[in-house]
Parts: sequence; C-alpha cells; structure tokens
Amino acid sequence: MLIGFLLLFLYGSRFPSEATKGVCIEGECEKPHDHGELNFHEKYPVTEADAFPLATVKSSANFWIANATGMTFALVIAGAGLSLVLSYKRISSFLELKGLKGAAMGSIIGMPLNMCANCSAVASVGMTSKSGSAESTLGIILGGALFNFIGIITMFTLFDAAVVISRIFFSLVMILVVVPVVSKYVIQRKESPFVRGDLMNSISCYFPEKTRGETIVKCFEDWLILTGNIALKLLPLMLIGTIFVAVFRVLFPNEVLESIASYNPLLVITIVSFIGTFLSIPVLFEILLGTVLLHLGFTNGAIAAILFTAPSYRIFTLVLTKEKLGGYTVPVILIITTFIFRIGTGVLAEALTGYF
Amino acid sequence: MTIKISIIGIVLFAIQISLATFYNTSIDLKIVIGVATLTFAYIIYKHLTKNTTHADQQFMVYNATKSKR
Repeated sequence: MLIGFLLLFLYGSRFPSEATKGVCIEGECEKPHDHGELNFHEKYPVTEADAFPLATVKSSANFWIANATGMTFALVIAGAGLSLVLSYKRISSFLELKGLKGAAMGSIIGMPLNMCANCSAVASVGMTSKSGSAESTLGIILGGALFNFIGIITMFTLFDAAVVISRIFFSLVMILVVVPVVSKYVIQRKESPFVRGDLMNSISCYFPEKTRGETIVKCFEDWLILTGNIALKLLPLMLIGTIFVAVFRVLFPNEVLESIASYNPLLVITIVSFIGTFLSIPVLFEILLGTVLLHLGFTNGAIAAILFTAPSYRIFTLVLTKEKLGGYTVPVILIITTFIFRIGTGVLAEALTGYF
Repeated sequence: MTIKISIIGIVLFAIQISLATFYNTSIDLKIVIGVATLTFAYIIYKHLTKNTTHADQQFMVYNATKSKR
C-alpha cells in the first residue's frame, strides 16, 4: 500500500510536475508572468501596493497552493508508513536504528519520496511517530530534500560542477555526521505525541489469523484512521509554518537579493544563507532560484549556498519537528549548523571553481 | 472517543485533499479521494453498527499483550 501510494504520487503528479519545472528552468515556460518572486507559479501575485497583512495572506495562500499536492501525499504516505510500522515489527526496527546507521537508513527511505524538506518532514514525523529514532526522522527529511536524484542531475546540466559537488559534499556531512551527533541531545518521549496508545493497539495485521480479504479491508481502515490522526496533529503546525514563511517572504522581497549582487562574495554567501533559513519553496524550485541568481550575476558560491539552503532544514521544518525532537534545542542547533554549512557550501564552491 | 478524534482528523484531511484537488486536479488525487471515501464510509458504517467491539477488541488485547510480528 505504501509503495502503491508512492508510485501513484510519483507518476500521477510528481514526475509530470518536475517535467513542467524542467521547462521553466530552460526558460521555455508558457506562463512566465505567473512566476512569482521566488520563481514558482503564484496564484495570487504579491504587488508592491499590497499592505503587509494582505501580502502575507497572499504569500501564505501561494505557498500552500504550490505545496498542496505534495503535502496531501505526505499525509497519505505518512499514514500508510505508520500503519506498516505499527503492524510489522521488523519494519519498525529499521526506523529505530540510531547513530550513523539510523541517519543513513532514514536518508535511503527519504530519497524516493521526491519531496522538499517541508513535505518530507510531514511524512517523516508521521512515519516515525511511534518509536522511530530522531536519526531516522531527520535522515528521511534531509535524504528526501537533499538527495533528489532528478534535481542533482538537472543541477549538473545547469551549473558549474563545483556548485553541485560542494552541495553533495555538505549534504553527506549533514546527514552522516551532524544528524547522528545532534540526535544524542534529543529527549525521546516514551509515548507518541501523535497517536494514542489504545488507537495504536487497534492497528494490526490480520493475516494469517484472518482471511486476505479482511486483511486488505483492515489495511485501508488503519491507513485512513492514521492519516486522519496525523492530519489532526500536523495540519495546524503546517499552517503556522506557512504563515512564518510568508511573513519573512514579505519582509525580504527579491529586491533585497538584487541589491546585494555586487557585495563581497563571502558577505553575499552569508546574506543568502541567512535569507535561505527563512525561505520555503517547493521541491526543485531551488534550481529555478539558482538560475535567477546566475542571471543576476552572482558567483558560484552564492548559487551553491542557495541550492543547499532552499531545500534544507529551515523554520518550517523546525515547527513540524519540535515535538518529535524533544523541544527547541536540537532544532535550533540544526538551524545554526545548516546556516554554517550553507556558508561552507558557498566557500567550497568558490574554492573549487576553475578545477572542473 | 478515539474514533471521534479520528473522524475529526479524517474531515481535516478531506478539507486538505479537496483544496489540493481544487487547485491541481490530477488523477492520483482523484484515486486517493475515491479510496478514502469508500474507506471512510466503511469506518462510519462499522462505527454505527458497533461491529468494532468484539473482533477488534480481541486484536487490541492481542496486540497490547503480545509482541507483533
């Protein structure tokens, strides 16, 4: 069922949507006027004449619409994943792995999701809400966001190899070194914050005690009940995260980026990394944002910083994972580390430029 | 109580999927809506006819006391 929903999502909307994004990246979009400030198609264009509250509402709506299908399938996949984990002990033991193994296993599970950090956070927190380790939760989020194969291949065709190699290097360090280290500081809760104990016990695999038909019906029942429970817990958080992102997007419009293009490269990388912490864009749109910077004349360092920044751990992800990670300490450490790594990615890309 | 909380969650999920379908109608979302509607109808039917009590409670006890596969 989990694989079925994932394939349905990938072939029904994700791959066609990525093909459309590819057209936009190549500059052959039929609706270029629809591209908003962060370069994705925006339903409600935010203009300079809009007052702050209206601009925030429009930005929130644009972000929600752009992510709607991904977020919906994140809930669907999280429900199916949690149902599988609760019914089959051997699967849940994979998500309970700690340290380097847990982070690596999580990132392998996250890779095929083909989602940005926000959507993969919904899927990840849902799937690991019973007994999954912090390492696997973060591994799924970062694996999904940073190791999107389609994105990496597209980046190689558009940007200098130095940009892509530095992003891959820091993504690996983030998952294999930072995640296992910071996860040691997570205070794990004994009881899931999402699903009540009595409900958890009602989720089970009927087979072989009951017939295959009854088992299939029970699978769908368990999936929908868990999806509902995850939606109840995560949708309000998703709304809060969206409003945070929208407020920041209104405070820092594109003009800010354009005005810093001529600054010292290291300062540009630092500013871009800082702005990226609060940005939130759908999967693969970091590439479009990177091409915007390329055309504005930014150096490889700034482009690499935005490519690592935009899909990575940010404010929205913090709001969603705070409870799972036992409070604000670990998420804040992750935000700061990600910010430093963004600068590192930029500096490495600058240093490698010319070698490829 | 648990089933009522679950139903509220499913209604929230229904709002989210309806919004997603309104702005981006794709075949995968339609299939999920179909599957979810049928399943939801079954859950409500089971809840209203109180079919859950015997068989499922046996499994709840089974799951709570013995390790799962």
